[in-house]
Amino acid sequence: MELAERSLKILVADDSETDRMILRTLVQKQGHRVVTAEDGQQAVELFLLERPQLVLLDVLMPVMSGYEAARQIKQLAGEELVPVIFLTSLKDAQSLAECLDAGGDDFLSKPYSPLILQAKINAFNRMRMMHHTLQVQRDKIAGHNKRLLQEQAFAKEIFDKVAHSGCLNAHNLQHLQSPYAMFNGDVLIAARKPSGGMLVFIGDFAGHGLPAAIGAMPLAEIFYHMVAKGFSMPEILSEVNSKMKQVLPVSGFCCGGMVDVDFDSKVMKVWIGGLPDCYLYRAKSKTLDVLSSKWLPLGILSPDKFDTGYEIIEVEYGDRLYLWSDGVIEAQDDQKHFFGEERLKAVFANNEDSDQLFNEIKEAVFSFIGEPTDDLSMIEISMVPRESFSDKPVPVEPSTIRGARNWSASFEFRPETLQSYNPIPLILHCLMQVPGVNLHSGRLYTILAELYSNALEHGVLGMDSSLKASLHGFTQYYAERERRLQQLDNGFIRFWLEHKIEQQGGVLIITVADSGPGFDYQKMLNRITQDTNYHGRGVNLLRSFCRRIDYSNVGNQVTIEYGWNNELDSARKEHH
Amino acid sequence: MEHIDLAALQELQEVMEDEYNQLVETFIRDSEQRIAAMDKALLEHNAEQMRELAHSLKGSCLNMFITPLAQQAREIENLAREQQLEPISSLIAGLQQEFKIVSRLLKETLTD
Repeated sequence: MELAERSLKILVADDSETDRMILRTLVQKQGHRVVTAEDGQQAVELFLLERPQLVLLDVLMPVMSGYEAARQIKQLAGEELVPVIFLTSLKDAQSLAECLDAGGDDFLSKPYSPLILQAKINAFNRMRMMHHTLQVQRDKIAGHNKRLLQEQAFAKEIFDKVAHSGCLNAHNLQHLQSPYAMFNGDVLIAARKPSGGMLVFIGDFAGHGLPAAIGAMPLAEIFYHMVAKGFSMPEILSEVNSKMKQVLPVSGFCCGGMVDVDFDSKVMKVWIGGLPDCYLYRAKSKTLDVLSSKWLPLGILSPDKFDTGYEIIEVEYGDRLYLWSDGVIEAQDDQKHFFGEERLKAVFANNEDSDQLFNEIKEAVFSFIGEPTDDLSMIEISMVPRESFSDKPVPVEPSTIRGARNWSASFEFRPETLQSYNPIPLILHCLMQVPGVNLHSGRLYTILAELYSNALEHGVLGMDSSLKASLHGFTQYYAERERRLQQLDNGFIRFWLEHKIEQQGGVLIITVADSGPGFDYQKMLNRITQDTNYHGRGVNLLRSFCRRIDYSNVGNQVTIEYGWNNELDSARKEHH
Repeated sequence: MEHIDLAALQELQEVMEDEYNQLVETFIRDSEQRIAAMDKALLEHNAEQMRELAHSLKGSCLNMFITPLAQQAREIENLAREQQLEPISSLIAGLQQEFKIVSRLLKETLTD
């Protein structure tokens, strides 16, 4: 159908021959082509056959009236606008209304005025073209929308693979995030650390839609990779901040909260940057501690200005930490009222069974706003005993290089390094080059971390571990550790790594020496065997993992031997 | 009122060009047939038929700028719609009278 053409094909239907002749001549003189019908039935048939763009219909015709013909023609035209102009000498309102009810668009009264006829044909032709343009654009928009939804589903699939490879379903976590919340820029990720702890991150990117969502991908990638390699929370935050600063537009940033859960010491390390106040529910006292954001959101500060601090919170089993996006307190009802802090606190105040807290919050918010929303994420983290996890080793991604088979290496870390750098991921990465060692990454991490913190804290920094046992010990201990570390101007920690192949596996010999004065290891070993509550349980753990542990010199050097059997490992793997 | 608005008819004649003669001849022939059929409808007391014929006659008269005849046809149409055939018989006589005058005037406008 040539839309732009000014010459139209016009159907004229009138039972009076003279009227037909006059109208046909008038219309033809204005440059249009005319097909004529003598009654309504013929008009409908000709419409189907000729597909005219405009119809001029007499009202009273034999066989089928103009009203009925108009109805049928409008139906046959479907979505295309085919203007129907009734030819009439009728003047009464009732008859004119009937014309419109039948789908007529206008009237032309007898005697015909060529000028008015021309004006009406032109006006309806413009309307017809506009309608057609609208339809084309509507179809285009519908097509775009369909493609957008397909792309979102596709993106979600990729995102789910990246973002949900972690441990969000762990038994000590409850979370709320609608499937498409990622398109509002919400992130919720959690992963077990090689040491057995857990890192959780909840994030809310500024803005909405795809631009807000896209930053979640690199964030999740960094998070999972660094957690698996044993990096600490400050290191991960720092790296994520740098990446967000680098990839997000100037106005873009990510409000978030990260929690490092240590099930052994019952400590949560909490960093909150730009999220609304988070709540810690103390099960024993049934009280709430409010944790406010103390840091700037990720992606704002340059790496050298980013502060990697965190709060250390000692908790008990059964205590629950709640983190949420602003979608919770800013949830709105249809009167545009906010859900607000008071309603949120009331949920805690009215709670009778803390296992139900999470559901009660969810229901309070949803019943307030009337329907679930995509703009809301929250998570509950419970402190539970480490033993409640059926821990399976978390294998570090195997290196693609089929690695080193017989080698040794040594490292020495000096004050400037000890102050600002955690060497464990570097050493673990080095060890992961060894074939078959993959499944042991968790244990090796624990061994390295234990040896390193002993060498640093008790050796180089000369701290007394009995400090830890006192009330609020951990907080004080960490503060003292930090103070001594910043004042450190000499000292070192050395690692010697040695790998040998054995018949069905291999052995790693790790020696750690420090610049400290040493300690009476014989006395410690005696105490361990006598007193199981003694705080040297780290050594107990080492002993259960290692073939041997030897202290030498004055106690400032320790050597462990860690062996493995590949066939045993693969048998165990199949057993799982 | 003039039997025909000759000035307006003149314009129509210019628009219709060669077809004008045919238009006038068709009008006279159709109208004769309609008026004869109206006589018949009156005899048969067919008010619906009367209404349709009067309506068609009115429409084509209007398009030819023959206003008095169109008005007479409208009166008949209105009466027929209300099923009042009695007064129509006298109106038809007047209609026939008027049509004779109109036919003569129209034939005078024909070109050779």
